[in-house]
Amino acid sequence: MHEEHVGHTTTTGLDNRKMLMWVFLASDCLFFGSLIATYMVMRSQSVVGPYPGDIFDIPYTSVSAFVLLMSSLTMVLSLSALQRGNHKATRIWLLATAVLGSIFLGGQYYEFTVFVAEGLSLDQNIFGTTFFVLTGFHGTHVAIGVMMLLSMYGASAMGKLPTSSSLNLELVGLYWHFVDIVWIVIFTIVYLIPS
Amino acid sequence: MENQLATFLGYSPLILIGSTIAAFILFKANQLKPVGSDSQSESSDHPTPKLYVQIAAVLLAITVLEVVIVIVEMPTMLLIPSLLILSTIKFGFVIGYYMHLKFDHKLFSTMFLGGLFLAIGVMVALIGLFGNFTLPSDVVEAESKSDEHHELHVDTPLRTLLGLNGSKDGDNEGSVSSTEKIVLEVASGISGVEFAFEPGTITGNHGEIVEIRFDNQGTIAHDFAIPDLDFSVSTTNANEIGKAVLTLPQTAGTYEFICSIPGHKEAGMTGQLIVN
Amino acid sequence: MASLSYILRRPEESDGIWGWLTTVDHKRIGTLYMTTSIFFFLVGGAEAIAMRAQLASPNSTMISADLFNQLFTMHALTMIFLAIMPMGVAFFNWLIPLQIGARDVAFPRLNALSYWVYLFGAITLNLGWLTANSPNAGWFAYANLTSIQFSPTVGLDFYVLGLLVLGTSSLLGAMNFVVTVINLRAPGMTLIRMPIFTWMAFITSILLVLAIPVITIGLIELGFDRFFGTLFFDSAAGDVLLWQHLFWVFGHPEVYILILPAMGMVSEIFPTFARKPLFGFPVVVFSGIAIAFMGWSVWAHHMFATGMGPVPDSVFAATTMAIAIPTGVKVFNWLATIWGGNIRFTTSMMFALGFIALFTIGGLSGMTHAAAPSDLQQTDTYYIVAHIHYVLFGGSIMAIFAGIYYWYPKMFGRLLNEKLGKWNFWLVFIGMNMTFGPMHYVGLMGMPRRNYMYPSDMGWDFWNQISSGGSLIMAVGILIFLHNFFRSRRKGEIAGNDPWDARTLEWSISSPPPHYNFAEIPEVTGGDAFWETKYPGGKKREAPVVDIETNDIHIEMPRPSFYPLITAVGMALLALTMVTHPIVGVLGLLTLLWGSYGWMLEPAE
Repeated sequence: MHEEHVGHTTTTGLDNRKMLMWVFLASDCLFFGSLIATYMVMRSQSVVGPYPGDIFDIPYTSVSAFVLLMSSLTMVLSLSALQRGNHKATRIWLLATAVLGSIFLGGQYYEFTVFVAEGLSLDQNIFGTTFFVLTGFHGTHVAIGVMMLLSMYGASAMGKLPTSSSLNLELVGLYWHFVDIVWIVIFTIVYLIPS
Repeated sequence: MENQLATFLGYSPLILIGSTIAAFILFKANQLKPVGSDSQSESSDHPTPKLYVQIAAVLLAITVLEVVIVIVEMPTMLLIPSLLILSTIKFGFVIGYYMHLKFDHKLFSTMFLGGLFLAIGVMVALIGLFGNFTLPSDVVEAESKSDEHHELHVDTPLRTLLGLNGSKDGDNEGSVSSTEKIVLEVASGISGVEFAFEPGTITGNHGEIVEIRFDNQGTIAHDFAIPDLDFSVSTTNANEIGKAVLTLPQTAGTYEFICSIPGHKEAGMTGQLIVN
Repeated sequence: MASLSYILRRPEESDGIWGWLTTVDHKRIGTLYMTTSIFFFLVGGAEAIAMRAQLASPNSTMISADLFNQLFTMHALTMIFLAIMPMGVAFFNWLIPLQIGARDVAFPRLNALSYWVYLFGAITLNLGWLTANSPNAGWFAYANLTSIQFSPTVGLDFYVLGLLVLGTSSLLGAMNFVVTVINLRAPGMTLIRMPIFTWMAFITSILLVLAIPVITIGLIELGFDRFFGTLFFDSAAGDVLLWQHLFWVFGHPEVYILILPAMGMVSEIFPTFARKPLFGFPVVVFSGIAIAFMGWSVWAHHMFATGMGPVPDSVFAATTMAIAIPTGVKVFNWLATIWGGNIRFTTSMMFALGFIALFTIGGLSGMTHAAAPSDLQQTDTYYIVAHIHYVLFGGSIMAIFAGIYYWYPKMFGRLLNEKLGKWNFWLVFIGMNMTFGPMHYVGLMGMPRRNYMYPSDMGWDFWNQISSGGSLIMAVGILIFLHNFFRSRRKGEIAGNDPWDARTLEWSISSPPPHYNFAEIPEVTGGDAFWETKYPGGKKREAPVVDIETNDIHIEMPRPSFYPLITAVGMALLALTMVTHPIVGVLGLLTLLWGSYGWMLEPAE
């Protein structure tokens, strides 16, 4: 559909870099899958509290889930704008995505401080351990994503992101959406499904 | 183990139905046409910004629905499959439309879904395997709050995920503190004899709910099991006490109890439960 | 930003030491991998010789218990992660582009990065020797022996950090090869026409992409427990067995990662030296796919002794027995390839034949482990050590030797000496069987593994002496190999393009190949692409080599780059933060950012 002009022809006609990104995302499924498996296996095994039911604020977390979902929208709008040659819109939507991602991160940070204040720490119980490491690695992925978004913004602002290079933005977008769907999984399994 | 397997098999129709519904909805969603036309689109079925916004609205709506059904505390047996279905739909929209998989070469879908299903397979396998998780002894003796969660039959993660807490023997919560409970005590390792139960016979009345207290006074780990009633007290280390609740059968009879660790029954760890 | 990339702009030439440090050429990277892995093979071998010296006699006090623990841990880690896997990657690097008719891999700089990260990971893993505190809890590092409580010294920190870095290297390389095989094949080379070695390399790379993240998580969790006090593998609050599951979910695909490249190599060698095409090519391919697929379902056969219960034990026993089927199919295909062929007993062929025999023996002992009840007797005894070494030494290493003797001429332009090669083969073959054969018996007689000392009245003494003697014979054989390897660089017989009259595309160009590999990308019309050009209609004809000068062909190859090396340094420093000082982490992060941005901003070729 959206075939970029590829420098060399490839056997499948698909761009090497796009393929590399999908291979990487398949690999990252196993990364997060193992972390989530660890969380689930230890789910009800905490010896002391606080327990998930005591500490989760579902309405609060659902707001941050909204934020991340919206950032996927702004991301895809940014790419769409670039493909249509509208560089100003590209940058606006890019910035919006980075801002939403940062709000998500801020929200996570705040949520973590609240939990810690309520007695849940990395080494308090197995819930603390598995929860913080899982969401911490997700947050790290988001932070790296925000860095990439801002880099793309900078490139565009300097005139170095022409429509012909829209694949670069598409690749950042794929990564960003992946981080969003991992959050969909985490939100459901960790927060919503009662333990 | 048979218990857990049976439970899982019992729930699989629910999961199957749920996934079929999700797949059907996704298939229907696949046929969504972009509303209005955008002069930029190269072909008529490529997503437009308008479609992306509509999908975002759907994603929000589903998230709201998920939160609502959690807050109103829908029965767990319905709640968990529903959440899984709803999340799968969100997942599908993002990978299909935002990540463009629906329109791209099938190879990308194969790569990604391959990794995804392997990850899910590993997760499910680990959850199933950890059904055999036994608690260390100091947890068995831990404070009463944890007793509610762990003391009796082990809550396997799969059972919890499927909304099934409590064992065949009855509900965990609160049963420990019931003042009407009858306690049957059995010990091992008395007088230096490692592989024997003392007393060799315990008695109860049919239909009663009893608590079996197994006091391991020996030097190695043992457990207490009644195979014919599919009942066991989890492995108890030396100088520890294991407890579990048993509902005696309605009919009178004699049931053998053993230590189920290989070789122990043969070494003498056997006895009789007489139900009047 | 533009000015930054001028500071380290891509060099135009690639001579001297800077040439090697900035190379992005798959052939040079392959040579780097090969020499480094030979070095670490010797290190691992020294560790083994030390152990065999200790075990040559009962009640020996030559080596302390703790040092012995470090030796068997490091021996396994070195052999698996620093010798066999990188040697496989050396061949992937050298052969995949040549066999598919490409000029390089899909991402040359990423390729270079993979090598430098491997080198730094190898160093990290071995840093423990500097403090006399190498990892000492076995290569599988079971929890909670590995907790900070029971292993307070720094050795296991090197384990965690070293393997995290090495895993990253393998992952990056594997992703590169997957894209290369899918996307860079010459016109007309459909997957079924692709050489068998590239097929096995492709499958191995897919396994790596999927398996490495699992061990990464296990290592991260162990690292967090050790560095930050988390409770993942805490005996009371967490679950000790979780480590074993995570480790072996990776660990079992890992052993297929170790053997599939070897199988690919011998699958190329037999047709050449029997002058017959590989029997049942599609079946060999599908067996490889089946092994990779089924390899995900067998991991808990490493855990039969952990009390999982009768249902898991039975399931995993059944899946383990099932996976012997595609493996056996391959053996029959190799035998059928050789059967009735016109066999030349070159050194390479002899190693390949030895591979079949020894790997089969290892497979048979493996089948006895598949039955959980018998495994309970064999576990933790030398019977398992015998199995491991028959499949890994008798399997992977023998095939690697076969591959080196076969492809060395292509890589370096000269043949290895056949006479020295025969000495190499026989000493290694005899020595190997002398060392590991008796271990079957001694293990069944109850000798436990990973013990630094054994008492003298158990009936094990004699066979341990034999084993230790065998190890010395192996060592001599390997020294002869080294001598052959280095001597032949200068004094070996000139190889020419196609010394073996072989079947695949790499033999259609000069030895060593020119920088650009193929002057013209070949058009492929069938499997065994080169054979078709050489013997159209059965009669030999001189395969024309296109000359780049006379045909006025202008080929642009990717220029070298500094940034892979810089990025690798950044990653290594980041990893070392945990055992040094936060400032190292800051430095590492800055270096990593410099490397990454420089990489993105420099011209793509």
